[in-house]
Amino acid sequence: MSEEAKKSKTSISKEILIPTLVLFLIALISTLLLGLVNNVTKDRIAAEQAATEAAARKSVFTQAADFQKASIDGTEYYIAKAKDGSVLGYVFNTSNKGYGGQVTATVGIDMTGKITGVVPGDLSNETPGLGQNGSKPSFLEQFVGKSGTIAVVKNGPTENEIQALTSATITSTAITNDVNDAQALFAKIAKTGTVVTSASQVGGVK
Amino acid sequence: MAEKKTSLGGEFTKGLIRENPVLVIMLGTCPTLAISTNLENSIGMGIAATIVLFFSNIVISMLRKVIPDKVRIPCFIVVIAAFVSIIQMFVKAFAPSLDAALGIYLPLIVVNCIILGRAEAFASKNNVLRSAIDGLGMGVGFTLALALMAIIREFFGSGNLTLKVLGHGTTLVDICHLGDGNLLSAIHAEPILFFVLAPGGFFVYGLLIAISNSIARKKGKGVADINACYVCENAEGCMVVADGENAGTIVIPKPVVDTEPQVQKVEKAAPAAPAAPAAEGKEEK
Amino acid sequence: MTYIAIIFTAIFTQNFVLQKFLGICPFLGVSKKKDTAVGMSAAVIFVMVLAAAVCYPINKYLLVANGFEYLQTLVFILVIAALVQFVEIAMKKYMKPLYNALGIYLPLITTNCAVLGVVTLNVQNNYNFAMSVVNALGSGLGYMLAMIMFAGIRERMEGNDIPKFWNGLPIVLVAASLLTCTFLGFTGVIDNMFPGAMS
Repeated sequence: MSEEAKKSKTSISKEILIPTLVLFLIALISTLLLGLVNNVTKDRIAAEQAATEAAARKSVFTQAADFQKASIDGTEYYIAKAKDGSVLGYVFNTSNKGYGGQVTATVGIDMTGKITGVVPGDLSNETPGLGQNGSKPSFLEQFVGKSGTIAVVKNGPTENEIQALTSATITSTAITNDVNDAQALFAKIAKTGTVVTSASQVGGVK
Repeated sequence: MAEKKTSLGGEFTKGLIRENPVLVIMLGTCPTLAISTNLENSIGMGIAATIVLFFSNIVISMLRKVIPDKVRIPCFIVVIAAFVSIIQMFVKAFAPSLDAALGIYLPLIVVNCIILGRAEAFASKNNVLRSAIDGLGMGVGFTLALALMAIIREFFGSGNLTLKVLGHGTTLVDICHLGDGNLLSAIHAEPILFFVLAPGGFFVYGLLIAISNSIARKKGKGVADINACYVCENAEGCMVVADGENAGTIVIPKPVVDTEPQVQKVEKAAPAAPAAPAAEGKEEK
Repeated sequence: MTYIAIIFTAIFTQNFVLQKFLGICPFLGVSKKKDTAVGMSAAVIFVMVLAAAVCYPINKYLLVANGFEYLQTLVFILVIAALVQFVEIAMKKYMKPLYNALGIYLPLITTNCAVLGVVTLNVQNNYNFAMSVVNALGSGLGYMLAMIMFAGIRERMEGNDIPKFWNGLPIVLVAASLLTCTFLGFTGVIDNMFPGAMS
């Protein structure tokens, strides 16, 4: 130790300046490298994200050929269109608190107000084996064809009720709330009375 | 090279079983418990951690003569964090569903003590080639242990074992998946939820360590070479002695204080590449 | 109401150690004696809250504002490491009694995944400043609860006649498994206590 102490007296630079400089250089190089990788991957990440979203829209509204972005009161949604351009319904992205974080869902609703499909987003914060079963078709198919506020029950669902996932009421409720929020948005759009068919009018709704 | 005790091959295989990071050295317990509910995610996690371990070991070994002792931990952390972020970006770009499944555990590879532990215990004392092989071996050992746990937990917990091409929806192997049911339902048994839930993680981990310990005991070996990670910041947590008289206690071997004058002056002009002999005195026990 | 729900969720249903498996190393390593368990978890609470408070503005005004989200992991871990150092120095100088109690645990915390975990979760859940701090506090308290309960269990286990197969770490993990089972029971409780806050 005494040797080290002598050393530190003789050269402060060795004790303080060089470590600081080395750490700084390593941090700088790392940051530059990250920036580089980010530049390479960011387009691809954005494209993957867009593709995932598009796939979710397609799967909740299989008849639609095209989706057009629109918004109401600052909330974005998509208009599902048939090949000939006629409006078939709407697709909404909603989010509610689940067991371990936000549970998002993509919900399709046709012009009669019936739900055409539901796909939950990232369920990684829900319990594995319980809440994460929320992406299983057997659960999600319960929503299809329903309209009006949906409630979650543990056993024997009747009309406008769905059976909760085993031991995962909170996740089930979160997804159901997502669906109900989507229906509320649908009602709002229906109230404005206009079926928006062109991009210019979409802006007007806002 | 003649004085080295272990061959390069041995450097690789030691991570698989003899010094398996999860089952013997007790490193990286957090992701092991959290991710092992699903085989596919476990393998994804294992591969991500292996890549980080491999590259961070290489870089840290290359820089071992340049990094001053005082700031070595922050330096290691920066290097590791950089590689983790790079992996994260690539996973996001090429396997988005894996990114979603791993959630926060992907960025948390930064604080996975396997990586810092190996940086500190091995890469900072050995040459680039050995460090790279050590990283690879440890990473594969981590992946194997993770996959083993996942197989047990997923099979008993949900009755299925599926392995998909990572990040894509295509099912590669669909083991034990019978129609809409599962293998357990074929023998009129229900999946045991306990196994995929948090308590099952602790239980299966305990069981695997018990098995690995009793095998080691039969072979007459000491159970864990815990000295390997004495310098890791989290050392105290890893220092649970698994066997012997002090079973279950924490022993922190005193870090070896380097009293001899520093072997190398910090010289950026001399890259660390082949000049291994100087560091061989510090060779890992 | 949201804040109370965040705290309860963080302590009981989403307990950092027992549900999220964060900070397992010290959970297994430092839980042998009750007083070390208290000291360690108090230090964790302290650093977690501080880290959440410091990382929030850094993330919002430096990283997100400039589109540097990809640097989050790197910046957070460095901030936490630096923070722990500063806290240690400041404590040593100005809060000697606190330093004597918590000081030895501080270096262990830098690479504790619970601290980086809480900061990352705050970002992922888009929590605002108050929610981030409250979440960190709740997570820390949950950590403490788990540590103290587990230390109690381990003190009781001391000297018990454990079959050789399970002896050592395996039986400790089985005990952790049973403790975790009891925490599963909280799920429904929170659900019914805060029906509004959950949605």
